[in-house]
This record gives sequence, structure tokens and C-alpha cells, in this order.
Amino acid sequence: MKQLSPKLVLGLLATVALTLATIVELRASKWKDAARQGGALAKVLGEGRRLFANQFITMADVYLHSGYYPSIFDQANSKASKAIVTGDEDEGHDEHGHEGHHHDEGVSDQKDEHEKAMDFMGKPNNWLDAFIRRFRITEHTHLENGQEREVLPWLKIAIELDPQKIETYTATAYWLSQKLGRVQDAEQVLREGIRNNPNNPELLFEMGVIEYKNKHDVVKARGLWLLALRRWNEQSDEAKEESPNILDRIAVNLGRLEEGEGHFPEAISYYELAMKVAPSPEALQKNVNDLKARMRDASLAPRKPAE
Amino acid sequence: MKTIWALACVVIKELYRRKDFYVLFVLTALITIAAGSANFFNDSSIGRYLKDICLLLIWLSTLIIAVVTTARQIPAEKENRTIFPLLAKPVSRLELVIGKFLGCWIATGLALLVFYTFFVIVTGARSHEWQFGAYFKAIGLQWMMLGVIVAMTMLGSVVFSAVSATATICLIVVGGILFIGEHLVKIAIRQAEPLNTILYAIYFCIPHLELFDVRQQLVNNQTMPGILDCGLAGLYAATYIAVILVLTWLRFRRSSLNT
Repeated sequence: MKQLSPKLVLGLLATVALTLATIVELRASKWKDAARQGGALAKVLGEGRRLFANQFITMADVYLHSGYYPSIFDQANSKASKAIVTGDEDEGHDEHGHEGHHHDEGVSDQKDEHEKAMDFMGKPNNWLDAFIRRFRITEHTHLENGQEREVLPWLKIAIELDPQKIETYTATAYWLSQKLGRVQDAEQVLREGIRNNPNNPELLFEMGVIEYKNKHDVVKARGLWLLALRRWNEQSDEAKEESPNILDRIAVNLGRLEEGEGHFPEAISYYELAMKVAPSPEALQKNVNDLKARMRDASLAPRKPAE
Repeated sequence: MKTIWALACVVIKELYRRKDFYVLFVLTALITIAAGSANFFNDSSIGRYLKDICLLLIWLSTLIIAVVTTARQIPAEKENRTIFPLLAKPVSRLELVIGKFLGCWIATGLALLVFYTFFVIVTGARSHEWQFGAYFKAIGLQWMMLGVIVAMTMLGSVVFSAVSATATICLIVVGGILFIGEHLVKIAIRQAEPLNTILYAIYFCIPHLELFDVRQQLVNNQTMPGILDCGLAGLYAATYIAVILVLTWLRFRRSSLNT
């Protein structure tokens, strides 16, 4: 074989390098975009990361209970739900979704149920069990006075691991806005959630709650809740059947908003919509009756003569 | 006693000559610092997750150091044939077992101190919490637990032929005890006879290593067990160490020194 000149080899190599660079550069930009979308965890764990998201929500729940938490062996006997996402022990968490209902009894029932579910230890089975318990946290307490911030890292990681898990966004936003007074951060979390799940009515509803409750912007809150209502209606029948509580919350809060603005007919129509899906529509019926009575009184009242 | 101490000193020197400890310490430090530099909603006062991660790494690292260091002691002496001059000194087999155990236990204790010093500095700098009493109890309890693990591994090293087999089996057993030891009684209650009795027997026989795990109290700033309870836990560990070392000696005294 004839010997190739070094200049020719160099020239050929340079051509190959240039060709490869043009091909790889296009692909590399796609990899970068993918990595930017999912973050470092997505890059390392791939789609399998979603499996771990629940574990991190549990971690946040463990912190919320200051380490007093049932193991998987205890959970087999109890029906304890995660307080971090349901706010079982916390009146505020329930309140933000059900302001229209007079749910004091319901909230205290939930608290009792949570206390019962968290009483998983029972009496020691034997002397060894009793001895081991001396080295365990045996008191059911919750983080308070701003210490709730300690749950945030795990919730943030859970969001990164499963961006389609709605309850993580709503729980994070709740703890940020209602417990830590960090409305801006809560809004950011919900915006991220809406970016990742643009058609989800629950996130839009929660965003509306922040506008209404924390920012007192009635116009924006109404707009968000109406959009949430539209998104809920656009869902498949199956999704609607699975989420009647979301419709309940949207309609009740819209009803309250309109009631506060003095738009009684609209408020009545929203309450009636909520009554179709509410687990206990009696309180809503009472609201509707009150509003109808107020409308009747207003129409019967003598008008002041024009001066 | 002098012989036992001399044997123990050799093991301690071996720990700082080998790279295991340094690698695990650097890994722990790097992961903790990386976790500490993470930003969660611009709140620098969030610190419990860092304690949790650092303590988990310390537990894993010291567990690996204890098992790996202990598992190779007697097999390495046999393999290198240094056990013959050692036993000809004269050193009895009981002294050899106790000396090796003591060396491994003190060596893991020293490693534990270095790890905890790092932990105290990192968490103190982050959360400005200096719970020295709680740290002291946590170190003491963990060291007692490591003593039981070292004794168990020593027994494994005279039962199994390969170092890798000893280390793997010990890590599996220790992991099993830590994860389900405490809950065996709950599982036993739901089982029919004879499984119920078997599980109860296992529950009462195994050393409950999970008892010494007070990480949740440290992380969540909860009340630590009292001094009396810690003392009783120490006694509990000491009993298991003694029983396992006797079993090790009984097995080792009859075993052949040729590999």
C-alpha cells in the first residue's frame, strides 16, 4: 500500500472531525434541552425517578410529625393518610379548599381520625418491645412556629422526581403560603406546576386561592377559578368522576367570591353546581336559601325617593 | 492484657494505613457538602435534611468499615501464615480473638469520632445547634452497636472461608436486623403456629441493633434516651458481645489454621 502523506491524513481527519462536529452539535443541543427540562435527577434516574417521588413525600410527612411515624409494618394496620398532603391535623389546610362549607365538625372529625390513625404504637407487646420504645420517639407532635420549612427540601425533590404529581405542588404551595407566609414562593411553585401540567384544574384553583386569600385580587381569582372550572369540564368523563371534590371546591369558592361581591344570582348558581357533587350539600342549601331570602328582602324593601 | 493490647494496636495501625476509611470519609464529606450547598426556596436555615443525609452516610460508612476491617483479620493472618508465629509467641487463641476484636472496635470508634466531628461542624455551621449531650449519647450508642457488629463479623470470619462471604453475609444480617428486627413481633402475632413460635424465638435471640439508632431524635431535635437507658443499652450490647466472642473462641479453638 502506498504510503499516505501526513498532510493528506491531517486533512482527512480535519474533514471527519468537522462533519462529526456538525452532526453531534445538533444532537447535543437536544440533550441539553432534555436535561434542562427534567433537571439533574431526571438525567440520572430517567423515568424511573417517579417511583421515588412518593418516598420523598413520606419523608416530608415524617419530618412534619417530628419523627413520630408508623413503619410499613404499622401502616399495614392503620389507615393513616399523609398529613403533609391532606393536612388532616391542620384546620387551615382543609379550610383553604372548603371555605364555603361550614366544616368545623368535619375538620374536628378529621383531626380525631388523624389522631386515631397516628396512635399506631399501642401497648408494648413484651419487655423487650417496652425497652426498645425507650429509644423511640413516642409523642405525636407537629412542626410549628416556622419549623415547617424543614419539610420543603423533600417536597422540592418530590416535585423534581415526578413533575406530574399534582398533590406535591399543592402541598408545597400550602406550606409555603399558609404556614410560612411566603406567598411569592408558593406562587412560583404553582406556576411551575401549571407549566408542567397546563390543563390541570386543581393547580389553577390553588393559584386562585392565593390571589383571593393572600393578594385579595378578586378579578384575578375569579379569572383563575373560571379557567379552572372550564378545565375541569374539558376533562374526560373518567377524570371528572375521579375528581368531584375539585369541582366542589372551585364552585364553592366562586360562590363565596360572587356572594362577597354582591352578585347573588351567580353565587346561587355556583352553590347549586357544588351541591351536585358535595358530600354534604345541606350547608350549601342553607347558603342558597339565605341568599334567596336576602334577594327577596332587597326587592321588597321600599326604595328611597329620589332627592 | 499486654498481649491483647499489642494485638489491638496492630489492628488500629492497620486502619489508618489502609485506604477504606479515607475513601469513605471523603465520599461522606463530598456528598454532605454537595447536599448542603443545595438551595431550597432561598432559605438557608433549613438544616434537618442535611443532618439526616450526613447521619445516614456516617451509619453506612462506619458499618462498612467495621465489617470489612473485621472480616479480614483472622483469614488474612491465616492466608499470610503469620498466624503461626503469632500463636507461637505465645499468644492463646482466646487472646487473639479478644485482641482482634478490641482492635477493630477501637478502630471503628476512632473512625466514628472523626465522622461525628465533621457532622457536628457541618450541622453546627448550618443550623447553629450544638447539642453536645445528644451527640455524645448518639456516638456512645452507635459505638456499642458497632461492637456487636464487630463481634458478629469476627464469628463469621471463623465460620466462613472467604472474606467476601463473611462481609456480605454480615452486611445482609445487620441490614435485616436494622430493618425488621423491631417488627418481628408484629409479624409473629399474625402468623399461625409453628411460625409464630419460630419468629418469637428469633425476635428474642437476635441482638436488636435498631435499638441503638437514635438518628430520628437527633434529626428532629427530640428528647434523647436518658443516661440510665443508655447504660442499660450498653449492658445489653456487652452481653451480646461476650456471648458472640465466646462462640467465636469455641469455634476458632478447634478450627484448622491451614487455609
